[in-house]
Amino acid sequence: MRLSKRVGPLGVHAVLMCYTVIALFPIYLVIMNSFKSKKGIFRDPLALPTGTTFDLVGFEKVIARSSFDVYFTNSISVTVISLIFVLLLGAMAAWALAEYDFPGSDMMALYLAIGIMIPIRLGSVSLLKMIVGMGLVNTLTALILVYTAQGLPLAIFILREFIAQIPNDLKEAARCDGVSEYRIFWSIILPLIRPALATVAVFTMIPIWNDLWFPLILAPSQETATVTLGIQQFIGQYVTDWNAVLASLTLAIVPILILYVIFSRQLIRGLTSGAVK
Amino acid sequence: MADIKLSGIKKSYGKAEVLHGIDIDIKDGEFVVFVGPSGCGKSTLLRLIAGLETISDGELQIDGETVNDMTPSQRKIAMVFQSYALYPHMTVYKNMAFGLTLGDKGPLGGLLGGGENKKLIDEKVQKAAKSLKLEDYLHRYPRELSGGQRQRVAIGRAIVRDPNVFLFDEPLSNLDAALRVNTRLEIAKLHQDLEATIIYVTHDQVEAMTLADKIVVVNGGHVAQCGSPLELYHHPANKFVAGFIGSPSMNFLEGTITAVHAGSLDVLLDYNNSTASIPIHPDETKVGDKVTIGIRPEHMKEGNDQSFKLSAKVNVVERLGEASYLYLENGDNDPLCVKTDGHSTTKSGNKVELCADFSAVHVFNAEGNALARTTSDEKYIAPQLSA
Ligand SMILES: Nc1ncnc2c1ncn2[C@@H]1O[C@H](COP(=O)(O)OP(=O)(O)OP(=O)(O)O)[C@@H](O)[C@H]1O
Ligand SMILES: [Mg+2]
Repeated sequence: MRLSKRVGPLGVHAVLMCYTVIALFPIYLVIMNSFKSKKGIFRDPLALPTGTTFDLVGFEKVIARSSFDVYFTNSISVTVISLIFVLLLGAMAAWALAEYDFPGSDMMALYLAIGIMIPIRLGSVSLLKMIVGMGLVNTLTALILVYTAQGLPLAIFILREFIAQIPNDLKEAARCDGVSEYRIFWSIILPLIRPALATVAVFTMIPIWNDLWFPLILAPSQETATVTLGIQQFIGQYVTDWNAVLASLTLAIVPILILYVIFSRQLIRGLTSGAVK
Repeated sequence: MADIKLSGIKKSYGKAEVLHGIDIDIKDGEFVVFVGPSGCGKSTLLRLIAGLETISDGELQIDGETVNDMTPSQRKIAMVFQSYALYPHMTVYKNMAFGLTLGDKGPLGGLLGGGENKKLIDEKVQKAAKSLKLEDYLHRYPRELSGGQRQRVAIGRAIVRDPNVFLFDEPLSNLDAALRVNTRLEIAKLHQDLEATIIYVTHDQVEAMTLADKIVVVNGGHVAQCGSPLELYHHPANKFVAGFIGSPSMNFLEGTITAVHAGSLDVLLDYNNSTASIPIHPDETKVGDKVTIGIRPEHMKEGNDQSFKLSAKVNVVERLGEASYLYLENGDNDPLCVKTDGHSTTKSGNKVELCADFSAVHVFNAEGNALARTTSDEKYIAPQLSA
């Protein structure tokens, strides 16, 4: 009995540790090797950088040879603006679907949920046609529009569940207080679903940041390329500049890491405690 | 001024009708309590008055104005919820001020500002906080307060809005017994100070009796009776009200009418086959009708010097000090209860003689409606409290 009690958590931790190691190992390799010289990388990829192999040539190349600052600005603006749209529109739609019973509200919710199951890339051809039709090829706007559409279904689905869990009494108390529906949404609902918003933000932002597909087909120009697309110039058919690739990958981790830290702060549990008994 | 008038109010959820035509008149400044068993529709009725549910049929007037289609804030009501419903991410101060800072006024429904000015709001909040002894807690969050304090914040939030009508839905049910008595007194005092109309829902009849100017007993979506606490206590209109008001509840004895006289009825009681001649208006009754006789435990006493007599075996004696309760043998039915003197020496197993005055004996017909008494005993006519 006592043994099994102790083995239980131990086993769980062992499994989780294993998973963590497996998941982090490639990232560890990328970051570590980005600080090594080419020889260092190829001679012993698993070794830590030493006095002889330590080299910042990758970073120098990335910064000198490409317009990495442009890629970065592009990536960050596309990610942040799409994120804002997804969170704002998603929360508003979720509130409407959770709170108001209008004809077809269930159908609407179902329709939006289908968006989670069907990958948006299946529609690449028609998306491209639409973007061309609107004259938005090679603009960041095209990317933002597509990413917003891509992120909304899951955001609405998750936020709707969270909003439905907010005690009814709170909304009704506000209505008795003469608070308008807009105000209820802004001042009561949004603060209370902050943890959910943060979760959705993390889940939305990572695929956008990492995406190569849509930048490639919708906005491949030098001025609008994102980091993921920009890195591709170092990967050639015959030669790949590993120093530069690894260095740019390492740099690409930084902003997303910062965003993640910001959002994970919001993941405080028990925010509603004290609202209702 | 806020008279409230409900006429023929009905409420259905889908096909299920929950309230079947409620008529109530509430005068300005009255403290009205809705009581009834769980699920009878008290909360629903309150929410209809608040404007949180739509009225299926009938008319609701506040101040002579039909308000069926008005929003809660247009009706100028304030509601205190059973769960308190405090905004968890706002301090006590903000909780109270929130409804004032942003009304329906201003563009985008108050999203961009509007509402009353800061100084006025501050004055109101401070005043309410003072009267509720909340000054020291204004900067705390609801999660940092005790149940009683949260309750007071909820009441404070209602007070600052200076509403025409206060609505309370079982505000004390989450508090422990001692705090409940305290808060009850505070609410009574609040009513005196504010002189506002208060509608209060509870299923606790002690709360109802102590607080109310007028009690509305609701049963199964109907108003069973509506009147002052003493009226309900002394003149219950039906068996349901008779059993619901009073604690321990009224004893009921089944019987059959054996003779009808000009000013009285002879009733053969199933209890020990004794016959009692009870002064009741005989109209609409005939020999052979089933009736139920009701007597409150506190109106029976040991002895045989009063008009209604009974003898029985005592099963259990509960001694509370100031009084003792005798529980009498009653076959398979609920035992009869008698409240007797605390010094009573009666023990369980004893045979006792019991009696009661006819003026305290109620008779209900087979439908459960009270039959009118012929005795006019001043003692049992409700005194005019308001005079
Ligand atoms: N939204 C709803 N949909 C369907 N039926 C409902 C709804 N709300 C309440 N009811 C029904 O209406 C009836 C009255 O409910 P209500 O909440 O008014 O009871 P109550 O008298 O307040 O009881 P309690 O003392 O337990 O709070 C109940 O039978 C309940 O099942
Ligand atoms: Mg209720």
